[in-house]
Amino acid sequence: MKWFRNIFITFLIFYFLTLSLYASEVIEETHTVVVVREHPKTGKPYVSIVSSDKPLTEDPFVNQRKKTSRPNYRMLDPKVKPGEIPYDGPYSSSTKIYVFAATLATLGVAGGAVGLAVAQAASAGAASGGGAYIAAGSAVAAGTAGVVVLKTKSNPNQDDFTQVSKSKSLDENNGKDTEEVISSKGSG
Amino acid sequence: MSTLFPRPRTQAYLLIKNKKLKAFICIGLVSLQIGCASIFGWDIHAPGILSESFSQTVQPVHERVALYLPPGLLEYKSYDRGSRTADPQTYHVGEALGPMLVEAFQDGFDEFVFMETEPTPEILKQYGISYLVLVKIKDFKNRVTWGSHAVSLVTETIVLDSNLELLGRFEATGTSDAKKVFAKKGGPQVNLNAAIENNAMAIIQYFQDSIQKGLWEGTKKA
Repeated sequence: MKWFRNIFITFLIFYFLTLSLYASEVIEETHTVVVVREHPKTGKPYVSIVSSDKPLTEDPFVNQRKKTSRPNYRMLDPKVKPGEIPYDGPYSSSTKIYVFAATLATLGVAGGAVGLAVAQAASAGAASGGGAYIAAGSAVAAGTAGVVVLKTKSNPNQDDFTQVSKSKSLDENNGKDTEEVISSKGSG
Repeated sequence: MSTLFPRPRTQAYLLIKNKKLKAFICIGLVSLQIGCASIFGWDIHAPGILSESFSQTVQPVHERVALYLPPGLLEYKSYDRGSRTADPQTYHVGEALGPMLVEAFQDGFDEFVFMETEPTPEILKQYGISYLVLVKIKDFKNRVTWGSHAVSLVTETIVLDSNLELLGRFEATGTSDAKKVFAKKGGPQVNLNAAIENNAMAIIQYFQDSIQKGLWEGTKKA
């Protein structure tokens, strides 16, 4: 029985070697190779077909390899305070925005007092960020930045956030439209 | 200018005589000249990863599907500031859309293949790929108002069979509209991410629905 086992193992080795040879032969036909890459954010592997003509095929997402936690869109709810939901993804520093806003606002009113007021509002934190930066932008024309910055608080009962996902066919024959409002909160 | 040849006192000269005003005008002009966006603007990079709810909503379909992203998609940026008075904003749409589409197709199909080379019928047949999907960015819209910020991504998806014959084309739109976005750390980034995810959701759901209903069975060649 020992000789039978040896022959069987030899057959298996030969079989798989032949298979791999066949596989390389097929791949030669289209000058492509199969590589397994990792998703740049999740690390989950996926199959990629790349050209074998190029000596080294670089991962198209090579510059984006940075693990971040999945976003929680509840963060977009205006009732949720800044920092209430943890976020470790990319972000822009808003300080420079307020410096810019202060500069422009000051230009508009030709005096340092209002510009200083905007800068102080900025240094107090990002509590009224979005509204304030738009307000300062408007103030270039109106010249009343200080007043507008204070008016940025909206009624929390009317706040909401809406996300829409919809698709429609571009074929004349296969007309099919779908629309889905994924989340819509509050009274708007 | 010496006292022998005094400068004529024009109105414009008198206006900029004030040193403080001159300094502010200089700052403004320099800012405009060298491009405000690069210094002061919002450089918005989305996290580029789907939320938990995506995988809970989308169920995988047993099909071998390949995704091909045309050249230039990953570099797509939008400089739409959303309103005349808003600060400059740069939205790095393509760099987030690429990984999110890959992840969406991973979640949506049991056998997903990413095409990094230009697809041909020979390649598709060799690897037994039933459907090839191409996604192109059609439009990116941004709207900034007093309290709210809405971003919307419109894409066109082309579905081809293994002979590269057209099976169908559809448009997907993903929108995210929220208030007080700029007040939060990562707010505009997450808002952009949400719009892209909604777009990816629309693509996957439409595509899955079309396959399951056999919408293209008549036109598909073996």
